[in-house]
Amino acid sequence: MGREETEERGFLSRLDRRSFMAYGLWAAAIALVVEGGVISVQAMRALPKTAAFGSKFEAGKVSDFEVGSVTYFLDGRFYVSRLPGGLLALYRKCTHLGCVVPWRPDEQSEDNLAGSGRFNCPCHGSRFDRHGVVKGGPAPRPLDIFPIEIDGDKVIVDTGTIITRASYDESQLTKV
Amino acid sequence: MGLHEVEWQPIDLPTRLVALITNNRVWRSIFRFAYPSSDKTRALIIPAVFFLHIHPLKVSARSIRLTYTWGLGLFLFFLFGIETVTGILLAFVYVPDVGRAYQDVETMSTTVAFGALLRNIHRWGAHLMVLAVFLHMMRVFYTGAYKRPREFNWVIGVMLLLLTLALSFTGYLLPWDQLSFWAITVSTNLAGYAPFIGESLRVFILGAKEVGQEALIRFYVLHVMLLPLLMSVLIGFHFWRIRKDGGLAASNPLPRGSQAVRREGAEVPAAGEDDPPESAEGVLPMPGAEARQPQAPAGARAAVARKQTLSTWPNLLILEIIAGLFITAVLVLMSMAVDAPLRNLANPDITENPAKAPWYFVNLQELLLHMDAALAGVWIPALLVVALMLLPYVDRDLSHAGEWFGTRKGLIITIWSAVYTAVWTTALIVFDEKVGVRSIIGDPAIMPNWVIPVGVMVGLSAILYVSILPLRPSRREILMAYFTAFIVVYAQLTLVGSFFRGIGMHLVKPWNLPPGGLSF
Repeated sequence: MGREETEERGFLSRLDRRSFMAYGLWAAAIALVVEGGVISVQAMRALPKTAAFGSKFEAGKVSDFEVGSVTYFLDGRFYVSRLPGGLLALYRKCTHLGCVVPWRPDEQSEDNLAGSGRFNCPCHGSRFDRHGVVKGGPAPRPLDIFPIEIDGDKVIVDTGTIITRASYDESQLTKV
Repeated sequence: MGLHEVEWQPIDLPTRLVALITNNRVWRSIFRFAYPSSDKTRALIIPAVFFLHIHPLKVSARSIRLTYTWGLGLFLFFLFGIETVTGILLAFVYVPDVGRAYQDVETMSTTVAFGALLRNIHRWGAHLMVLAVFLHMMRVFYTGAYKRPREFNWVIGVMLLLLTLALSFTGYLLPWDQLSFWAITVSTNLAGYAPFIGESLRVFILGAKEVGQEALIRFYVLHVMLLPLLMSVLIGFHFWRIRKDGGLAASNPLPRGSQAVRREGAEVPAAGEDDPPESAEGVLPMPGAEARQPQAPAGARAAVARKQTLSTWPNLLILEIIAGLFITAVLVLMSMAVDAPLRNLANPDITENPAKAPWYFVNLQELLLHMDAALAGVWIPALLVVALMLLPYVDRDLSHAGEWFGTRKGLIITIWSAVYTAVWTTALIVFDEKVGVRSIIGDPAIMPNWVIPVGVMVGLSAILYVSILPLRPSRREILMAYFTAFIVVYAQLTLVGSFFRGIGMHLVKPWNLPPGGLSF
C-alpha cells in the first residue's frame, strides 16, 4: 500500500512539462490509429438494400398455394412451402456453406405430406423436407426462414430479415 | 573514395562512342559512378546505388548455394513483380461491375493484344506464388533458418504467406464466372462459422448477405490496392531483417569441427588471429549481438566464415538475374501452353456441382467433409497459423541452424513422419467415404462432428510422438515430425479435394472427374 503510494508520487513528481507533452503526443498518435481503424471498419460496413432481394417481396395470392406445394421465387431467393397449418418462406441458401438448394419434386419425400419432393444440396449432399428440416448431410440447422405478412389475400415476404432456427415448430407458420 | 577518381581512357571506336554518351554532365548526374571494373569498385558501388544498397558487400558462399535456398525467395520476389506488372495491364481493361466484369475478361482473352497471355501469366503466376510460398517456408523450416536471431522474420514470413493467400483469394472472384462465384460463396461461408462474430464477419467481408456487386468491388479494391501495398511493405521489412539478422542462416559461422566444415574443406586458420567477431556480411553489431551470434566467440571461427565469403557483385547479382529470367521463362512457357479457365457467367441461382473452393482452400473443404464446419474451417486453420508463428520460439536450440534437416536423425524423422501421415490420411479418407463415421456413431451429433475427429487427430499425433521417442529427438526434431505431418496432410487433402472429389463431393477417380471439377 505504502509502496504503491511512493511509486505513484514518484511517477507524478517525474512528470514534468516535457514528459507530460511527450506522453500526450504518444497518446494522441495511438488515439489517431485507433480512430482511423474504427472509421475504416465503420465505413466498410454493409449497407441495407432498398430494392430486390433484401426488401419486401410480393409472392402472389394465398389461394395460389396448394397444401403440400413448394413454389420457387427466383428473384426473392426463397421458396414458399404451403403446409397444412399455413405458409413458410424458406431461404434457398444451404445452412452448411451457402450453396443454392434446389427443390427436387421427383425425389423421395422426407416428410409425410406428399410422396415425393425434397431439397437436395448439390455441394455436400444435405437433404431438407418441406419444413426445411435437415434430413441428412452436414447442414447444422434447418433452412432459414423469412417473415410473411398477409395483406388482404396478398402474400408479402420480408427478405430483409433472415430468421435462423434450431428446429421446426408450428409457431413459425403464417396462418392463412 | 575511389569511385569518383576513375579515369576515362578511350581506346578504340566503341569505347570512344561510349565515352561520348557517358562523358557529359547529364549522364553523370544520373549515373554518378563509372561501371565498376575492379573488385574494389564493385564493392564500393553497392551501398552507393539506391537499387543495390539492400545488398551486403559480401555474401557467404554457403548461403547462396542453389541446394541451400533453391532460389525460392528470389522466385517469390520476381513473381510478385510479374503479378504487379501483368495486374496493372489487366486493370486497364477490367471494370469491377457485375454487369460487365465477365465480358471484360472475355475481351481481355480474345481482343486485347497479348491479353490472353497476360491473363494466363497473371493467373498461373498467382498459383505458382502460393506454391512457392509453401516451398519457401519448407526450405526455411527444414534448414532451421528460423532460429535466433531470425525468429521474427519467420513470423513476418507467415504473415506474407497469409497475404499471398488473401491476394490470390480476392483475385479469384474478379472474373465473375461460375467458378469464382461459387468458390467465394463456399469459402466465405466457412468464415461464417467463426464463433460469435462469424455471421457478421461474413457479411462484412462480402458487404452484403450474399456474393454480389458489393463483394466484387470490395475484393477488387483489396486485390489491387490494400493487399499489394501491405505486401510491398512486408517484403521490404522481410529483406531488411535478412540483412540486419546477418544474412541467411547458412552465413552463421560454423562451429569448430562441424560436419559442414569438413565437408566443404574449409580450413580453420591457426588460432591466435585476433579478429573482432563479426558476421559474414559485416553488418553493424546489434545491442546484445554477442549473445545473438553465439557461435562466433573468437577469431578462428569468424575467420572460417570470412574465408567463405564472396563479393556480391558479381556472385549474387548474377544469381538474381538468372532467377528472374528463369521464373519468367517458366511462367511464359506455361501460359503459352495452358489457358486460364473461364467458365460461364456467374449465376447466383444455380450452384455448380461440385462447387469447390480455390485449390489452396480445397483442403479445408475436404477436411470439413469429415467434421464440424467450425472445427475444419476456423479452429484448425487458426490454430495452425498460431502454431506456425510460435514455432521459432519453441525450438530455441541454436545448433545446426542453416543446415538441411540438422542431423541425419532429423532426416529420418522427417521421412518417417511423412510416410506415417500419408498412410493414415489415406486410410481415414477412404474409411469415412466407404464406411463413414456418421453411420457408426451418428448420435449425438457432437460425436462425429467434434469428439471423434479431435480424438483421432490427438491420438495419431501422440502415437507419432511416442514412435520417435526411441530416437531421443531434440525439440527441433519433434517439431520436424509435426511440421512434416502438417505439410503432408495439407498437400494430400489438396490433392484429394482437387482431383478425387466429384459430384456431391464423393470420391471419384481423377479421370472420371466431372467437367468443372478442378478449381485452379
